[in-house]
Amino acid sequence: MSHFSIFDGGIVGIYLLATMTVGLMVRKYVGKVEHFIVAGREVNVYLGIASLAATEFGIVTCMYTAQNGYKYGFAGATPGIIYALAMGIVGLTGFCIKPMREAGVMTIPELFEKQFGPRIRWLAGVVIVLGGLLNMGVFLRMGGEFLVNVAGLNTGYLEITMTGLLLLVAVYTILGGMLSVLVTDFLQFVVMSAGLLVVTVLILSQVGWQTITDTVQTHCGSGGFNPFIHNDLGWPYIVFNLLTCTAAVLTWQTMVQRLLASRDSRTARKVYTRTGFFFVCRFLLPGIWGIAALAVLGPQQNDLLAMPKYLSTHVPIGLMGILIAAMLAADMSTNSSYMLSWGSVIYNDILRPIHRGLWTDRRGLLCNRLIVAAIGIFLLLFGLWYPLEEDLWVYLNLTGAIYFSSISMLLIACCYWKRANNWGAAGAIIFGAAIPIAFLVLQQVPATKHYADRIGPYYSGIAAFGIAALAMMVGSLIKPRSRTGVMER
Amino acid sequence: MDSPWYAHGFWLLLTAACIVWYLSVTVYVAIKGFDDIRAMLTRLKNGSSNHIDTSPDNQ
Repeated sequence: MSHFSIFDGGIVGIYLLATMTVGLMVRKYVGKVEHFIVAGREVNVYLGIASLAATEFGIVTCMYTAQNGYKYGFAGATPGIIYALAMGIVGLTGFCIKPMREAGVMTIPELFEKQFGPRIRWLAGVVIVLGGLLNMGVFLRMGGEFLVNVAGLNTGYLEITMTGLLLLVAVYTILGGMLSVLVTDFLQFVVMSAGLLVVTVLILSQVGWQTITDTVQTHCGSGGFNPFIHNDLGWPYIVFNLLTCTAAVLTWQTMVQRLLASRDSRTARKVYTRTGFFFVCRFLLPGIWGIAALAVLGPQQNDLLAMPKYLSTHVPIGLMGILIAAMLAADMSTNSSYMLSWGSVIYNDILRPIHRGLWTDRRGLLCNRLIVAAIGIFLLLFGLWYPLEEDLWVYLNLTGAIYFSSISMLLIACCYWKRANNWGAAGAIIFGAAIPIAFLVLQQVPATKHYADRIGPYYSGIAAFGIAALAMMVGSLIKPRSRTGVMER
Repeated sequence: MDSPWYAHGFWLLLTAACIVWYLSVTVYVAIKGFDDIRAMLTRLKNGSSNHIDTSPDNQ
């Protein structure tokens, strides 16, 4: 039976009330579309760190990183180290993010228009929104699974609980846009971090470090400590994660939006450099929760639900309220930022041919608010009430690979290769999407499934990046230059 | 086959570093981030939105 009590419910209630109050308080400062999307570009370093960390840690992150710990031991935290390295290097060098912030754009596709023309801007916007929304579509159900399991609620309440939570998030995001997202992110960062730290220390003191390492050794062998020699991981896994994490650091709209909202490129780089190590914590701490679940409950559990099941019976009253509030904070900050980010691309890039940047701020704000509301409705219908039939991991990989391989190539070429043009950009988008989709088809058709199994998801993902880069180079080189020497679009 | 001692040591050190770093950053960001919010709202109230990148990198 879960340890969730009325006292814990009170803690959660106070947290929700505080979030709604601060979220709604700042709505009066939103007077322009620029305030709504990038907070008037007034974000300084520490608010940027809090917002970026809160946005990039949701319940779905906690579930997957704990699952990695349960399945692969400490080696499952390797992507966190790769993320931290990528953020540190990108932050220190300003690779891509410096020219992007200095261009004064509000979204990544807006930057692409300068080099590749309006059609590529629109197409990139569609790819970003499709990849992002489909990826986010599963967040709500995963969050609900966690909360229902940890709080010991009847599973019949999952939909209604998450619908209520989404409504709260939607209200302050629709009214206050990025400003409400930032101030609530700040509060959520503090609550989420306190919960993560307290529960981790509790688990380490309850289970003990020796038991944790013994469990990894027993169930995963030496591979549980070293991803290079793990049977299910190895070099392809490392290279695939290196490419994916670097691409995410450069192009994931929810991360990039914090950079574009920052005061200047120097602030943007500091936000990345100083948040980098958070990504190690983001993977390692919940990974330890997953290993503890393996130590206490054994290997026969559902690997995704083992961690919440373990927490429901081993976190005491009082701390349970802090844990639930922390996870609600993590989920609310992620949902609000994601809704706003994809909504920004829809307004700024996909609907650009309609408004042409000529609408008044009042009309633009109304349109942005309606888009965020529509995304909320989509999430409810697709993510919560629609049962997902496909394998979740394949689904997430596919949506991520379509986005990352093409958009990262476009961004790098746009920033550093003058010869890059719309032929190359279109090729990168088409071929970057074709490889992961072809892999999924191979996997689903019984006659070709053994080919897909032989290739594996990591080689397929690496190939998507390679072919997108090749398409960008070949497409750009074969397009004839105009007589004036300027690329034709 | 048992893992070498340095593999255990690496993850122990990394876990300790995570807890110490995260705790310090949470406290520091909680204080400095509050100041950032106040300054941001004051600038927005005064209508001095920062449209142009004035980073020293560009000067």
